[in-house]
Amino acid sequence: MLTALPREEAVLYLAGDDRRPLIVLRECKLCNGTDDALLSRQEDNTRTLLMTRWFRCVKLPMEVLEENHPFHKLFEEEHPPHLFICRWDGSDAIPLRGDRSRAELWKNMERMLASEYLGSYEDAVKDIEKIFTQYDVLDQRIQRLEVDFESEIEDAGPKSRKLKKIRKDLEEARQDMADLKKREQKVSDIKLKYDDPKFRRESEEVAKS
Amino acid sequence: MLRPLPALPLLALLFAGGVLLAPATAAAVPALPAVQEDDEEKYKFREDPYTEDDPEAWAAAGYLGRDRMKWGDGHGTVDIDQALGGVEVLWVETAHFRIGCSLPEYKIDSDSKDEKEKIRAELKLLQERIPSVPLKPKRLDKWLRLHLYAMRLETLYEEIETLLGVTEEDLPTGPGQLKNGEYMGEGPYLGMTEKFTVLLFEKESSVGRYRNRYVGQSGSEPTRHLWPQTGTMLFVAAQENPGLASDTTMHCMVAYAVTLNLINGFKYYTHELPSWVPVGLGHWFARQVNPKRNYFTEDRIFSEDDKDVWDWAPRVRARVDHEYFPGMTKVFEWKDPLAMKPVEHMMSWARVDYLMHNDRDGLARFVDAMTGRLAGAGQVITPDIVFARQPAAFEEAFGVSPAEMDAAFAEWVLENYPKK
Repeated sequence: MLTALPREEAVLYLAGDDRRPLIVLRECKLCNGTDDALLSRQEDNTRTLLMTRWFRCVKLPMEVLEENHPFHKLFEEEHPPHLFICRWDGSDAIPLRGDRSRAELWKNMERMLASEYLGSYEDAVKDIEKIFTQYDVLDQRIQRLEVDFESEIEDAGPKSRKLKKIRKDLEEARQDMADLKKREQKVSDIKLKYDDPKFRRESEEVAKS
Repeated sequence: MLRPLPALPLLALLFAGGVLLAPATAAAVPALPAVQEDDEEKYKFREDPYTEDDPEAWAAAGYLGRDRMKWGDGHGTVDIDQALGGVEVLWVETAHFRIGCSLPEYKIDSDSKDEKEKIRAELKLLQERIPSVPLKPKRLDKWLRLHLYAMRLETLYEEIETLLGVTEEDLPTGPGQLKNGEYMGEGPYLGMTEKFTVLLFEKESSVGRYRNRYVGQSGSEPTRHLWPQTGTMLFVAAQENPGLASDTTMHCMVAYAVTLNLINGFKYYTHELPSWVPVGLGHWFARQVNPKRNYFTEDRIFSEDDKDVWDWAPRVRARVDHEYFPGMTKVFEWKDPLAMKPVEHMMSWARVDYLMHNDRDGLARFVDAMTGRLAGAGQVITPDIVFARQPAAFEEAFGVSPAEMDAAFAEWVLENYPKK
């Protein structure tokens, strides 16, 4: 017979060794098998998806509402939230409804990022949004050059002079794409306060007191 | 852009651990699930206005069962209905398929002469089975769409069966049987134990739910999948998947993907055939539907911007003219449809097109030699084993060397494909 874990244990189990803040979703009959509890079908999800990289996202099945489910204590309220955001240890939990506005979701995600990370997530978000636009432009350019390359072979044969230039442009575009990916990785790499000894010491002292 | 149609995530190349199911017994009379009176309204969408659920009309339409059917490993249609949570799926069983369909009403593209004529011709054929279907509707309602896809799938099955030169009599009725001393698979559906399954949804989220719940995958892109315990192969897609809003494009994609399932399922799926064959055949059958809207690679579909990129015959001819096309031994190396470039899809089609015009029997012999239990290969047949087996099987099936086939192919292309 399964029994529900105490809330603290359940959260620590979900966090594992990861010290990023948590987003914990529960599925319901309507959103079962989808990410609809977090993402919107009507609005742009780019910003939400972009910020989730700094969270540990966990999705729990509908059965979590059953009393003997191991993670039931996370959603044991009479009207349980559809998801909640919290620190890795379960503190500072922010319950959210599945149909909340994007603005409300982002505000709470940002609040948690500001409290858990050292670097400026705002600058990172802006940079990554720009990088995403550049991805689109480069994707289209690569696709167009690939089509041009094949068309040139068919029109003028493999010895066409133009091919050399198209091949060079294609190589450059692919290199730009590789560089852009590296840049995105670098920009994303903001430091957790938990990983900074000074902040960790301070927070441990607060916890003790 | 259409995200990848993943290669079957089925590298558990198993004979299902000995728990293969017996083929379904065909139910002669359709039966709606026993429902409470309160549920009658809820299930009203399942009343077919064309056969009016009359058992004789239903059987004449080519249907065997409906609604409550077995489906894949560990789940049936009732489970899928529950998992989807309120999606109105129509379920039917034909001679060789089980089909679930929640495609919505479709407005035939009045600007597309191709689509109008194609659908009219199909409805005329459908009317032979279901006399009450209209011949010139402006819209296809949910049931009409399902009836059309059921007919399209059975037609495709028949064409593949004819190509492979097999009938039901050549195939075992269940697992563990040989036919005339030869291994022909584990069941009567081209060698698969159970009927092929096809799920066509309106919403991408339905694909996502199904994949998440039953396939154990995230993502809502179209996919193919083997259910090894049940012994069936699935194709699932949604109208909301990029590019599939047009019924003609969706039809092309269904033809492509189901051809891959049927060909790879021949003599029971234990391994993927060399990619040029299923990919080439998939495109060949999809291009019979509509070459302009052929779903033409694993990650690119028809786009209005592509202009004449779809027009493969002159493009292949130009390559042959420039003596710049991959030889057969290079074609052998294409192992994974996902990794194949658009040009490689096109050249696979051209190779198959040549064979479909000049040596269908040879193509059938080659498929026969490369499917089922490969002699001396053991239970797990890796892509390397398949690759190594090709040259000998090729020469045996076609009676020519790869180089000789290259020369004949080039000559035929120059004679038959237009310059422009």
